[in-house]
Amino acid sequence: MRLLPRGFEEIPTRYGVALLRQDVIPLPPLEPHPGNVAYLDTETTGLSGGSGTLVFAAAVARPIDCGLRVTQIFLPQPGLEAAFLYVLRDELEVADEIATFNGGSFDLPVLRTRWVMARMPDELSTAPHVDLLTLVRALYKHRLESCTLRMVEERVLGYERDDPIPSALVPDAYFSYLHAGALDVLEAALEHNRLDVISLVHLHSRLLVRLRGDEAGMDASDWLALGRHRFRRGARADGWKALRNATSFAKGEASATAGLLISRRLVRRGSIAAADRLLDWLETSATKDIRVSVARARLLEWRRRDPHQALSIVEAAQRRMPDQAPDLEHRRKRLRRKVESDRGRNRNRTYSRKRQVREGQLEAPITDCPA
Amino acid sequence: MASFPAFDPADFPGDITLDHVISEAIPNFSPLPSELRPELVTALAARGIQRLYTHQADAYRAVRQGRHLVVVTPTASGKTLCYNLPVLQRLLEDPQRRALYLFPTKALAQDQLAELSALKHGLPIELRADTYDGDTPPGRRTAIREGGHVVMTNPDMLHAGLLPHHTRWRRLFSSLDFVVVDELHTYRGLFGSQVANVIRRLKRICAFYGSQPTFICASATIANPLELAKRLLEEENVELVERNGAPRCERRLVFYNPPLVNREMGIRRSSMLEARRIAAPWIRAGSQTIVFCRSRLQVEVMLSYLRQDLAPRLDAHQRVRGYRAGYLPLHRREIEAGLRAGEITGVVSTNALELGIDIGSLQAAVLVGYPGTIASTWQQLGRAGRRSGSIGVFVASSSPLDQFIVRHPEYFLNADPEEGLIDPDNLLLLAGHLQAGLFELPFEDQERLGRADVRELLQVFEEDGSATRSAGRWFWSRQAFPAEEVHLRRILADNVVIIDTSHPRPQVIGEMDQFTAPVLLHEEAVYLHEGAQFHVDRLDWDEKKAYVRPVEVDYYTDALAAVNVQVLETFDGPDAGEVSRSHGELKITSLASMFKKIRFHTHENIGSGPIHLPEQTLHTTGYWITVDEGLWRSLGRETLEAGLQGMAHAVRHVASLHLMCDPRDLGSVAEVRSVTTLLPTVTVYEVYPGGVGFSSRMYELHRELLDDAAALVRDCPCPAGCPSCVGPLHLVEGAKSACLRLLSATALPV
Repeated sequence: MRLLPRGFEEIPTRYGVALLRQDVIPLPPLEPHPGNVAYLDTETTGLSGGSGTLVFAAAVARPIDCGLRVTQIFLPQPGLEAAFLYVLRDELEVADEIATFNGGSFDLPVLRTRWVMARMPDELSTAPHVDLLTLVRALYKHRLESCTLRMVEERVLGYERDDPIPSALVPDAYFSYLHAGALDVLEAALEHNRLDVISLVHLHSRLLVRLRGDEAGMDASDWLALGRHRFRRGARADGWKALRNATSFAKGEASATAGLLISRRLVRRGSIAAADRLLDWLETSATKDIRVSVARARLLEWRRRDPHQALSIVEAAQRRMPDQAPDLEHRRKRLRRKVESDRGRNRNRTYSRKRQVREGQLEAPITDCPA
Repeated sequence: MASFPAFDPADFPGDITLDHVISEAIPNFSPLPSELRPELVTALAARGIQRLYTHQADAYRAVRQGRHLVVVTPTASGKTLCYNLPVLQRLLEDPQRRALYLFPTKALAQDQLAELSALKHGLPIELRADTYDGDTPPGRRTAIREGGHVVMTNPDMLHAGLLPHHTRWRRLFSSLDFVVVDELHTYRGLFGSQVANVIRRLKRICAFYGSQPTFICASATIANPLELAKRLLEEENVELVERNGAPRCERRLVFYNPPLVNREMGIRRSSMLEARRIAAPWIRAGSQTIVFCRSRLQVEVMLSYLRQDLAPRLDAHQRVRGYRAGYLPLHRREIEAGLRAGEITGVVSTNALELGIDIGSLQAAVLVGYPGTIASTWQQLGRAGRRSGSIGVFVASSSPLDQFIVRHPEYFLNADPEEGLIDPDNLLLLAGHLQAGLFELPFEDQERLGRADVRELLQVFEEDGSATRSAGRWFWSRQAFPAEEVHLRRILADNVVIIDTSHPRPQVIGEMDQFTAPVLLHEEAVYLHEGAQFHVDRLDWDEKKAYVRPVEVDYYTDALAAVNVQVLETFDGPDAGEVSRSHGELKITSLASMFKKIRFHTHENIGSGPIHLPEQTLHTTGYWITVDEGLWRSLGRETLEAGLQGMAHAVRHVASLHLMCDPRDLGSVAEVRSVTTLLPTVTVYEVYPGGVGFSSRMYELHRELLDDAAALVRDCPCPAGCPSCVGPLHLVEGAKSACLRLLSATALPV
């Protein structure tokens, strides 16, 4: 057998020999504590997936009392895959949750494929999975040009990794070990794998703080992203709070967007007057945001049946934003026609007033509306 | 007596070489198999099926006995039921089982899905049938992988989508009872050789998951369906069902050769215009008519002709429609439905409508030009003829193949001499599929890929780093995704693409192999494509792109290439005779150095230019004919050379007829003195490196090729040889007779 990367020991299993190395990294206790999570990162022989892509290394990190226990499993040759998978499953089985970076569409499907290919019994079943990439996309995408782990480390965790080998060269590192026994690049790839999984622990910690809304210095767009994420997860009350926080910045596009989202939800539950008040207030803060004026005009025209006021909103917006005035022209003309025909028939005005009263009565009490 | 749409030969100045009425045939029925599940019997009854045609019953029986099957019946004989019946019966018995249907095109899969859905509609259990191809929305893919009882796809998708990701398809592959291969005859030549390797890989994956599917193939009429199926599937236990029990209506077949307008050059009146004159009155009279054209461009031109002819009618655009690849699927479905409902009177199509898409029965079919194979011709003619009193007309163009067929209708009527040939063991193909197979599943030490011994190839892969041996098995060990590097329908990855720049959005009109391109696509060449002239403005050799635009000029170009044929190994031959045959492995080098512009009619040389392109080398297989000394001495050097060139041209064309391949799949060279044989030699070689089995077959067909080539030349009305028989000639007195003398020379009977 050719030379093994340093630190790995042979572990006999019923499927043959597996190679394992373990090490403990002292860390201050994680706050908030993520629970009994196994962080997983794999290195593969390609990114295309499919049954010919091998997993040749896996790193599993688990928080323990004094820090972090990192286990790495290595596949010294393709024929020993069954033992590799068997040991990896053992490592993962003890956790209540598995966390990866893009594991939902990469690591886990590839491992399931490997499981079938190695003729292992049944299917590879794992604990519930949380994909940190999904969370990063939801919470930080607006701050990042791309959501690679490298970018996230740099911009979210504020740490620039001195990577021993770029990701793109990892598959070849394994192949040159297989074909020529080259150890140095392989060691680099394994170190890369180890650093990746450690990053996941830190990233998760950071994400948990952000998910609670406890991070200092969050701006309107951060709150907006968090609010949307909470709504997607069905946490409506917390979603409201986040959007409200975003809105209260009273400045910038994200703040206005959050306000618009709130007003839409208010309309949906019939709180027309509250929505109107909110939009009115937004117009004073986001004076150059045409979306707000359009939303207000629409609300006035269709929900409150008040084309007069809608018209004055549109005309005011056209004066404030001459560049975008043409976009509002169609709306303005329609409103003007309505107003003119309205003047001809007083009956309609009474009708629209009646409607207003009825809507006012139907309105639910709003407790958590920012305006 | 049925009433045909009117066709009066007196209206047409050319030659009617065939005017034949095919008599009707009465159906032969068999009762439904007694074991058929009652719910299936009910579902069939709801579709009006109370009993089977004999071939359907034969097919059912064979499949139930666990035999692989190939059914050969003409268009519209109910061959779909031959596979749907045993498949549905099995799925009703055990809904856990699965079936995979392969069709050569996506459109066909769509059509057969509709057919199967109609049948399964009446069944009590939920059977899920889906197409799975590039058009399948990602959201539905998982459901199909998990729950599809019948998955309908094409070989390309199986090759690059299903097999490399087989673990996701575990459910299908582990319960696979049937693989249906429809339109078997399309899997021939290069494409067939590729698909044969895909089937080898499919069988490996099935074995991995413990299934052993029965293969059910359906084919149009060809000479060797059983042989082709056995070769494609690599199975011996294959049953052939060819006794057709379906009825046949009376119909009339006409072959029409438009009149000559230039006897010397063999140019005839345009087949397009003649076809238009035939079809327009029928469409005007309300007879449903289909016109088959050879290219997309022709379809559009013919479409505008026929609409003009119908013009006073306001709905001309609605009543005459085009149909070809490139139309949106929805648009095509609408046209198919319009044809079935009778709302559309005329349709102009490429061969896209030739395969089994259901458009109901039409009254007339007009074929503009020979579709390339007898099987296709029958299928296209078969579009008219499901109802009594239909007519099919083949209008010949000036090309050698058309002229041979139209002048020898007996060849067409009497025999089905075309063979589907494949060679899955072509080294290049095998290597590509071995890599793909290695990616899909490691190879055991002694394992073969189908019947092919691949141990040596695996060792080569190990040396270049694509494979690694571990624990007695071979593993794929590169990052690349090998299936992506193999295209089933393309000859070579680095073909020269021909781009027509006259459209606002440049269009790819064709491809040419790298070996031939310097001769036909050099800059300033006049390239003939589907009967139209194109001028090559620029040839970007590095990018492998030729930019062309349509022109109408009165000259053609002829490139002089120094072609050098070197025989590397002779497999058989030469045998005795005035012209003797051999076949074997060749190395052909070609260096195009200059071209001439030659005026039509007068053959004046009106200009020339240099060609600066690298020398091309091709390693392939070929068949060659050598002329013995007694014969060539009697001809004289100059006539010998012209005769050899004519022979090369004619033999190549009739060979493509027998082999069911495009004439461009073969190349030919005439040498007055070959460096290897030291005799005057005509070589016909395969353009695809390594060949796909054509050469050994040409060797076997030697005598027939010579005879048919002689008939082509002899029966051509031109006085001294023309492009329709002996090819582009450099006017030499006596060329035609020299060519005939060579072709009718004594050769050993085959």
